[in-house]
Amino acid sequence: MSGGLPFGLADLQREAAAGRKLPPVERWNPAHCGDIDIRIARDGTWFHQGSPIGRKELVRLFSTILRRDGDDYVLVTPAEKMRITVDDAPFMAVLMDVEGEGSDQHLIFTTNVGDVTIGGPDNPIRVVTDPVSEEPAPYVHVRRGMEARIARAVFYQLADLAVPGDAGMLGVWSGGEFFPIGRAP
Amino acid sequence: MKFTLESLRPHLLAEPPTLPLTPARGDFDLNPENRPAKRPDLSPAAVLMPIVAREEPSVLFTQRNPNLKRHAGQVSFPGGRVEPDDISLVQTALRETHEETGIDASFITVAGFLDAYETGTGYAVLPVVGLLNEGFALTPNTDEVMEVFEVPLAFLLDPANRRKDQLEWQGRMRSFYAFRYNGHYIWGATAAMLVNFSERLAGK
Repeated sequence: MSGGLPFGLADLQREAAAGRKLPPVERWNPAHCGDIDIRIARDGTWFHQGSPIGRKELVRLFSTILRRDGDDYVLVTPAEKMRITVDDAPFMAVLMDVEGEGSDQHLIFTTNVGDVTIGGPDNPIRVVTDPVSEEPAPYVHVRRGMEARIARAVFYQLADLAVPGDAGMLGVWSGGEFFPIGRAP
Repeated sequence: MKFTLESLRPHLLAEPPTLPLTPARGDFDLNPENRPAKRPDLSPAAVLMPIVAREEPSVLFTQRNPNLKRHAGQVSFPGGRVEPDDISLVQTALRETHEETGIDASFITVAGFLDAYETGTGYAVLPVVGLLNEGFALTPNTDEVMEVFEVPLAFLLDPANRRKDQLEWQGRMRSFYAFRYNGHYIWGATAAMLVNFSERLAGK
């Protein structure tokens, strides 16, 4: 990204470099608010002023200070809160590991920015079906109301694990919960 | 001819495609008789078409090391396969660019994308078009890259410099686009991406 960091992130960057601990964004309520021309596209790519950001460290850093406020997504520091645009979900689940089986199964998702989330009561898996195209759009919760869209290849992997549930639904078990993912053919 | 982000963007795809890539173009366009009946599972990859933002803009290429297993000795754009911990296809392209040439991502502003390209060797390649600002340092990784060189963009965009060559490979004649410049032979997927780029600029 040209032009350097959009706001004072030097301290956070040092902290992030020291270890991957998420900053306490839920405790920050800065007085200064505004919009910033940052957008997360449907495939999970971050854009700044219309150009994709290719620097992984920067995108990872931004992802750690991302917060959902109602319908808005904001980047927060102790000093500033900047609203960004999210086209679909802010994260993309690109890997899935499976542990255990049956109702003891755990599905462990890794996102494009390196977050790990385990499907369960706190992190539900949901599938929205487009009423026109009937294309399924699967999501898993990551943290504080923010979800990852499940990448196509991972969804195929999920579909392979599907078992019949109630009312003619197919679904997957994770973290002691059954999540419907589609209707049995 | 001066290229800016604003002048490039309308000719490029603005959004990166979601995986899996379904290439609209590929090696088989010029060799339809060799196209397999069923498209195989393609490995996702990304390359950077670096447009050096000089007064006379140029495109930067790598000459791959002749000892490599894949695409040995060929002229390519910097780039490679998607690794599991890449955050996006753009990052794949910039990571590989840094690994191969030493160019730091902070010198590159991505303008957009060309059409994804299917190679006959089983890759689905997303070409990422980026402006490379002057002042970058080259420290090529000699295990992978023998030479980094530039070709004036005006040369590459002139249709008179584009040729269609043929050679026999695995018992069949194959056609491909090619450019010759200053002792360098740019052909195959890399040349086809340049053709895609010049067609897009010409509004075709």
